[in-house]
Parts: sequence; C-alpha cells; structure tokens
Amino acid sequence: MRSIGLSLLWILLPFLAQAETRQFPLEPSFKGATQVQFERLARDEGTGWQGQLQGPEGFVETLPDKCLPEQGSPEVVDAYTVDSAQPYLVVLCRWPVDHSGFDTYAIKGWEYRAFAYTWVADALIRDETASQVLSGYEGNMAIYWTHYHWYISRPLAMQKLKELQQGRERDSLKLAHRIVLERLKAKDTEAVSSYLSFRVEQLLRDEPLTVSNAPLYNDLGYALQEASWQASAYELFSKVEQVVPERVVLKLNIADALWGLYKPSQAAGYYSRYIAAMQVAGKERLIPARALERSRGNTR
Amino acid sequence: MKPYTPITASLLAILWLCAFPINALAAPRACVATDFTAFLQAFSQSLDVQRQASTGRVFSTTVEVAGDSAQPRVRVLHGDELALPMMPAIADSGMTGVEVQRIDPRHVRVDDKRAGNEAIKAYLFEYAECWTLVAMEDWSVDERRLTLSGRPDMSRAEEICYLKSGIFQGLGGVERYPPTTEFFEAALQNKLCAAASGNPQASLEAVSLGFSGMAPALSAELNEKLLTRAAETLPVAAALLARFYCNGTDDTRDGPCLDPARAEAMLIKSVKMGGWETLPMLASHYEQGDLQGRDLSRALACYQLAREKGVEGYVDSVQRLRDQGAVPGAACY
Repeated sequence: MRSIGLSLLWILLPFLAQAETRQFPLEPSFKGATQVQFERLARDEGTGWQGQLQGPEGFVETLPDKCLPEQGSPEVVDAYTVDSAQPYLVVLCRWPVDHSGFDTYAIKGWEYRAFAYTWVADALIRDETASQVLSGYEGNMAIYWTHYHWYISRPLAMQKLKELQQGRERDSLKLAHRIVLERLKAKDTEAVSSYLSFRVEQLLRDEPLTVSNAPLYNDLGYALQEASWQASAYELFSKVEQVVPERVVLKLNIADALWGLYKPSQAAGYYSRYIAAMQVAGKERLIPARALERSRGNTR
Repeated sequence: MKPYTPITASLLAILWLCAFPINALAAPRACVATDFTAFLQAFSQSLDVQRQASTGRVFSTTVEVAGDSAQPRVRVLHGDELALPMMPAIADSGMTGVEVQRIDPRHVRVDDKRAGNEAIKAYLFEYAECWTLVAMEDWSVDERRLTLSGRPDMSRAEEICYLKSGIFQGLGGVERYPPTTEFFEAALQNKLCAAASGNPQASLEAVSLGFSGMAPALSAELNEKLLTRAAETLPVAAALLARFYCNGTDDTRDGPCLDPARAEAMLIKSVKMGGWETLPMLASHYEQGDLQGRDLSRALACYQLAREKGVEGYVDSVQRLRDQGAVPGAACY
C-alpha cells in the first residue's frame, strides 16, 4: 500500500512541477502580440512572475520587468493594451504589505506596481512617468489613516494614461466622476470623501460648471451626500442650481442635503418644488415617500 | 519542450532543498549599530548610513496642496529615488526636538520637530537584520504650491500664513494623521501671523481655534484685542466677544455674566450688523434674565424675528414664551 502511494507521488510530481501560468488576451494587439503570458518564477529567483508577449507565427518577446516584490507573494492583477495616439501595454501587479509591528502606526495594505510599456523604434520601452502614476499604495498608514490608490481598475487606469498623454497632471472631471462612481458602487464612502474633499474646489477651477457638465457635478454632490458630507454636498448643489435651476432631481438632492443639515423648513420648500415638478412630468409614482412626508414641513 | 520526468523532478526537489543551507551560510550584513540611539545618531550624520538603511522599499509621505486644501500623498520609493539627506544631523550634544517612540524592541517612530510644528518629519524604523527605514513623513507645506490671490487686506507674507493656517487646520481637523495636535498648533501660529496687520477674519479664526481647545488657549488680553478688531465688521465676532465678556477665557465657566452690559451691547451690535444667528442667543438671555434683567416679551420678539430672518427651529421656544404670558409686538432690541 505504501509503495502504491509513493509510486502515485512520483507519477504526480511532474505535473505538480509544471510552471504556473496566467494569460491575458491583448485587444487590440500590441505590435503583433495578441496575448501576454505570465509564468510563476522558480523559487530560487524569488516568488514572482515573468511576462512574455506572444503572437502569431511564433512571435515572443520577454517583458523586461518582473512582478517581484521584496516581501510577500505577488499577483498579476491585469494586463491590457491602451489604444491611444501612442499604444501602451500596461501590466499591473500587486503584493501585500504588512508592517503591523508599528502598532497604531501600522502600514498594512497592498502595493500596486504598474509597468507601462510602449514601442520606440521597435524597442520595448518602459514609460517611467506613466508607470509611476499608475503605481501606488492602498491601505493603512496609521490606525485612522487610510491611503488610496485611485487607478487600479482597467477603465480608470486607461483614462488616466490617456490624460497623461494629453499633458494633464490632475484628474479631469470625467475621470473624477468615474473614480467616485466606482467607489460609491463598492460602498466605499470613506474613499469617496477622501477623494472629493481634496478635489472638488480644484475641479471647479479646472472645469467650471456649465449646463453640459452640471450632471457630473450633481453626481459628485450626491456622492458627497452619501459620504455624509452634507455641507459640502449642499454647497456643490447650490452651485449646480445656479447653472441648471430647473433640473428636477437636483431639487430632491438639495432638499435631502438641507434636511441633513437640520434645516427642515428650507428642505420642505425644495421637496414641494420637486413634487410639483414630478407631477407636471407625470411621474408621481416615482416620488419617494420621504419627500412627501418632509414636504409637509414636519420638524425632524 | 522536453517533458518532465520523475528524475528531473527529484533533482529539482534536491536543488530546492539545497538552497536553504546556502542562504543560511550567507554572511550577515554589517550593521552600523544595534543600539537604536547610536544608530539614529549615525543615520542623521551620515549619508552612507541613510543609503544603507533605505536600500529597500520606503513609504514616503509628502503633503500635496491643491488650492486651499491639502492631503498627504504616499509614494513607494526605492533606493536612489529618495532625496538625501533624509534627516538633518542630530548633534552629539542632545536630542532636543527629536522625539523617539519605542513601540517595541524592533519598531521605533521618530518625530523630528526641530524645524517647528509646521515642518515635522517622522521616520519609522524596523529592526530586521539591521535597523532599516520603512517609512518617512514630511508634513511641511511647499509654499510654492499655494495659490495667492493678492488680497488687498493682507501682505503677501500674511496671505501665505493665512493659506497655511487653513491647510494645517484641515490636516488636523480630520484627526487621522499622527501629528494632529501639532497641526492645530501650526494652524494657530499661522492664523496669528495672518492677523498681525488686523485682518478681521484671521483674527476671528485665531480666537475660535484657541477657544476650541484643539490648540493652546490664547491669553485674555490677546483674545480681547483680536475679537474687538474682528467685531468691527463681523457679526459672529461680536457675538463671540459678548461670550468673552461674560465668561472670559473659560468658556465652560458656570456663573453670572462677568460684564453683562457690554455683553448685551455686543450681542445687539452683532444683530444690527446682520448676524441673525445671534437672535436666539439674545432671546435666550432675555428669557433667562442673566444679562440686564428678564423680559419675556423681548425674548419672544427676538425668537420671532429670528424665524422671520430664516433662522431654523425655535418653534417650541415661541410657544413656551406665549404660554408664560409673553406679549407679542415688543421690540427685540
């Protein structure tokens, strides 16, 4: 029986010893490469991943960098091409960071390392600036201090890279809107407030409110509201109102913000105007119950 | 590709096992010092030691400024990406301004406050084979990133102070970052600097911060001087000055108003300047009679005026005064 077990082990060992791989298809292709394959490095080289571009007719090119952290086991999060004026290949790796020994100053989270490649005269070159911008750390820097990395998901990183190519240092309103909605969808309101509390004023300076971008600013106000930043939300809604005073959903947002700021009488006025506008549009059934209740001027 | 065989697999396994004794025999790194105090001294005085202690990954925090707000930005740096020197030399004579917090025998936080509360640098060191730098925080504000508007009521230097005061107050206000107390102190110092030539808003903010308890309290003389100046144009400052006349610098004081006549005059001044939010305060004093006598009808008039001016709430107060016999139609002030 024991010999059967040992024989089985010997039979299975070759399969166990097969290198672990991951493939990411490249759409569009990257200078002929249609996929990038990552292979887990042998242990004496460290626990990392090595990538290789692959294409038809045996095309292969090994990527010059490895996902190889100083500590921890790395993951290849994503690899994709960015179809812009100058095509890019982005590889995103991450690995855990754990300096729990610092107690209340513990640094614990994920380090994201991005490698952004482009072709220059048939040579595969790493764009240092793009790689740095798409790299970052997300996690705790102290007990109440969380640091965020905003360009993790593929759509956000692609947009950021395109803006970098256009010479934009700061996030555009469009990118800010996407970042906020993504975090809001994940119910990460701490991240929303961290991102917006620092950026709303700058965004308004970079891209002043107009009729066309008012919906985006309205959404940012809504995100602030969801993150319990009622005063900032109201401030932003008030600015949006100056540009698009007839926007129906804005009346509800302003009413909710005023209610959150313990101003029930002013809130009641906005709830009433919202209800009236919805009735004119024949959308009575969509009026939330709280609007009807609070429009009566009931104190909190 | 040649297929794997049991023999090659076993060879791989043997090689893999052999890797451990080789590592174990590797020569240990020469450490500058195992004692932390000696290490810190050497680290601060030698660029070579700084390089040796930061050969790996270092989390570097700097303050990113956008307009009138700021947020820490953390970057992961390696080796030559770190600007040297990372720490000014600590003189052999002493550690004044350098606070060492030993979290455990292998983890130490150092707060370098030698450049003042508005330029704190902090370092996290971990002992592995030797002492290594894990993180570095630079909480200074780069004045070149400030957006100056050229305010006519402040000099350039005062405007820089005013902007920095707002930034430090913002950093302290979220109570997330380790030097929170120091941020409030830096905010106060910068507000006092901005208020030097008499700016009412900066004066008011300096007093408010002192009263908040988050920063060191200002002296009674300085409070009165700043508030008197601010109360010339700001209704909120006049209301705060009234509180100062009643309670002095002890805002939690429980007892009769110290100077009721001046306090009442200042509350009325605040209202006359358009400080409608002061009306409920004035009403409450008339209702309580803790300034210059009780007058329920004036209290009622003040609450009603507050409601007319859009100050929310106080429905119960109006009803309560009516029930007590207050007569509508009196003048509030």
